[in-house]
Amino acid sequence: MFAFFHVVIEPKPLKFLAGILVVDDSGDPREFRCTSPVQPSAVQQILWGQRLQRYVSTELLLLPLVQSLELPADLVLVQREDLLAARDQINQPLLMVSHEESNDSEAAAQHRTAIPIPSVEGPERSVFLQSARGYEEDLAIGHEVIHRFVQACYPLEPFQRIEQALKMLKPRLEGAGRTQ
Amino acid sequence: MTRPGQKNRLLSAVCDLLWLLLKPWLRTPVLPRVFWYRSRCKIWETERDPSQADIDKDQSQDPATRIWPERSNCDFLGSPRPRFVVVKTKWPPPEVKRVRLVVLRPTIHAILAEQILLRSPSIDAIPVEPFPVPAIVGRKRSLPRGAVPGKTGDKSVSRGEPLAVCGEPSLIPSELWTRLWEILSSPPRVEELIARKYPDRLRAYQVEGVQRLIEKERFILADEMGVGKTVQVCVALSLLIRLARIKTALIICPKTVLSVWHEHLKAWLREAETHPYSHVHQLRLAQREGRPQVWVVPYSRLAKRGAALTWGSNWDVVVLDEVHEIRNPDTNKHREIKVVIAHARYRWGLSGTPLQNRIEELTAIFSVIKPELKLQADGKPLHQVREIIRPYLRRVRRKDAVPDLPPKQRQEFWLEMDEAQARAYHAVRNGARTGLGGGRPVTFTHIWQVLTELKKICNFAPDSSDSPKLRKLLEIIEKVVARGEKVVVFSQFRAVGVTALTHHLNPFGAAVIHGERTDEERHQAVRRFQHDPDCKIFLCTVQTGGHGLTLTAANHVVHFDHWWNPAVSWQAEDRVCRIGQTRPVTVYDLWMKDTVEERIRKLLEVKGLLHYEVIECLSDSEFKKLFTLDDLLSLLEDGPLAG
Repeated sequence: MFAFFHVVIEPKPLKFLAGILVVDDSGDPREFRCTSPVQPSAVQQILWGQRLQRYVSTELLLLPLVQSLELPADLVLVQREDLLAARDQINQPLLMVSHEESNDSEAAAQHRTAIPIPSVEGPERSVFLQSARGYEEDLAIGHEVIHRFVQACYPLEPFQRIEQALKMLKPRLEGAGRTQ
Repeated sequence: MTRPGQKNRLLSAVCDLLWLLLKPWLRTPVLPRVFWYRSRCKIWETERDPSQADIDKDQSQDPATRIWPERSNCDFLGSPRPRFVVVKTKWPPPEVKRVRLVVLRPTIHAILAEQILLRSPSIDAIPVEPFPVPAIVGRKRSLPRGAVPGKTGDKSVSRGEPLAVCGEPSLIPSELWTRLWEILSSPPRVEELIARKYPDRLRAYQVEGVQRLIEKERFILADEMGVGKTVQVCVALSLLIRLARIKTALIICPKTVLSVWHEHLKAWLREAETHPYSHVHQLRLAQREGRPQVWVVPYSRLAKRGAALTWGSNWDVVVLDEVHEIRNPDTNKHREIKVVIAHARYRWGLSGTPLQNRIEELTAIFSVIKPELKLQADGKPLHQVREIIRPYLRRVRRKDAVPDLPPKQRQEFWLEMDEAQARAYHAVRNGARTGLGGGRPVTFTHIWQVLTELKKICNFAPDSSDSPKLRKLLEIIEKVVARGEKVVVFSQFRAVGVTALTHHLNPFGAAVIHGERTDEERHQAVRRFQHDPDCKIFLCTVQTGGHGLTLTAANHVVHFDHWWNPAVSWQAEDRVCRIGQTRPVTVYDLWMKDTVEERIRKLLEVKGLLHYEVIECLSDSEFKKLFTLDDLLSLLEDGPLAG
């Protein structure tokens, strides 16, 4: 089973809303969890600066959501590279999945692998998996399990489901949560 | 920031020299020039524009403001972000400056006077408020006992077991979870998705078209005009976005149909940001956004050399509306589009003109849409080429696709020129005859000019705003409007057609478009005609309004004059007689007796060019090539045409 984690960021006012969807090999949903929106104050935005997005996404959203899962996920998939920093704090392999190859240096290529996607017509297409630095072994695990998954589902599609679900739930979740 | 007054310039110069000498020994080689104020002012920075009240009040009470005491080393000023810096001086009054704080070298004057390098900064503590802990809600899907996950074969939605909820258990009611599981379920097949998303909104051939666009990836929809090619593309884009297979799409179309795409995308594609009147700078801004993007640009934007550099080649889908625009491989347009489309997974072409009859153009079109086919149509028999391209091209005829389309009736009115028209007509014709008989070589261009001039006189005599055609037109319109119905009036001329008629038709609330109107004005005119009950007339040149538009609010069409190629007029009528039309359509043709209009019509009849199947695929210039010089000269003569 795979867990897809997705964060929706609303720019004005700045809000972070996240969801995690666990699907089985055929792409059917098995577990879904989401958070109420996190809205940083103006002072927090100033003080956290460019680190804000990464901090909120990983510390406040990704880690609690992954830890709250009841079903065991073999793999956690995300769409943003900065979320890979959370790998140190979770037990499952954590990989970024994207439909285009990153233009980074060759040194970064060892953290990346391509998964071919079956196509009816035209040239074969691929999605790309990327691991956190120092966790290159995650790629091998990801490569194996994703291969099963792509036969049933396009690997970026579940993120779309999460986004739609969050859009629907957002009005309900506004204002929930507690202060520390 | 400016230096204070006229203070000792000589000293400054000496200090600068000392700076150069001391530079290697300084620990912090660069510091902001703002230090000039430090000895006699108070400085602070803020993210927002401070008001006078903010400046006057004690800034230390404002948690959003960073207070910097007079004697700090102000290292924050190295920030590359523009800040508002408030400089509070005793005299002159406090100033607010919006500056980009570039770190500059300090002057030695500042270093010596303040000994800043020896001081450590004093920083006020700002209380950091903690982030609220977000509530987590969720559900787990329950499987039937003994079922193997993923192999239940049951795609129906399970209600799922509720999970522990932090805070409020009733945050998400049970019925909402049922809907949520539908969203979270794996996407169904394309046909299921269409049935679910567009129940009863698409016809069977449209569903098939959408499926083939998605499955084939590189495909040409060559359905006849008015059967909904645009809708099929919008639905296909919507489904691909839903399936997360695409993020960006570029639609390239003729300028006149930009508004049509705008309307259709608004109605059928809500999942994406659409940019119908787009500019390159908007493209760059939008590329940073996360939502799927659909861009619509006219061919003219891509007709310039180097346009592909601007529009890039990172599109997931490229749609070429009126794909025959790229039939000439030697044009810039063809070359640039080939670059833009290079990496697109989905390449779709749309064209209402059948491509089967135009073998030599197919090579160029398929070299863009499906280059891997390596089609070399030239010299091959037609049936062989048809077999090759059959999997990648579909044509649906309107009579097959929409058998329930209301009938179209045609009424022809043959009118006689008034005295002024007859005088002007004969003067021009006789002048031309004399000129042609003068022994000079006769050219096509010269004869076309004369014929055009004669056709203009058939509309209005020079310097006249009245004519038999106008009177007949007004008579028709009055009858139609009295019944509460609407009319579309086409003319091929702007000055002696649309412009001359505008004044007479304005009392009926005419929406007018012609070549000089902007895209937005055309779009507004179409919207007004379709939705405003007081707007009874749509008046346009056949070139601008004759293709791409949907004008089904009307059920009457008047051809005030006629284009050389009758297929152009027929296509113009199809703006009204198309899907969405529920009433019978009446077409009125206004002709002038014993004029070039009558002779042209007879010539077309004699040459067998009044059959749709024969001429539908011909461009204007190709159509004109069907006439010989003798054919055209015969139009200027009296008496019957030679069979």
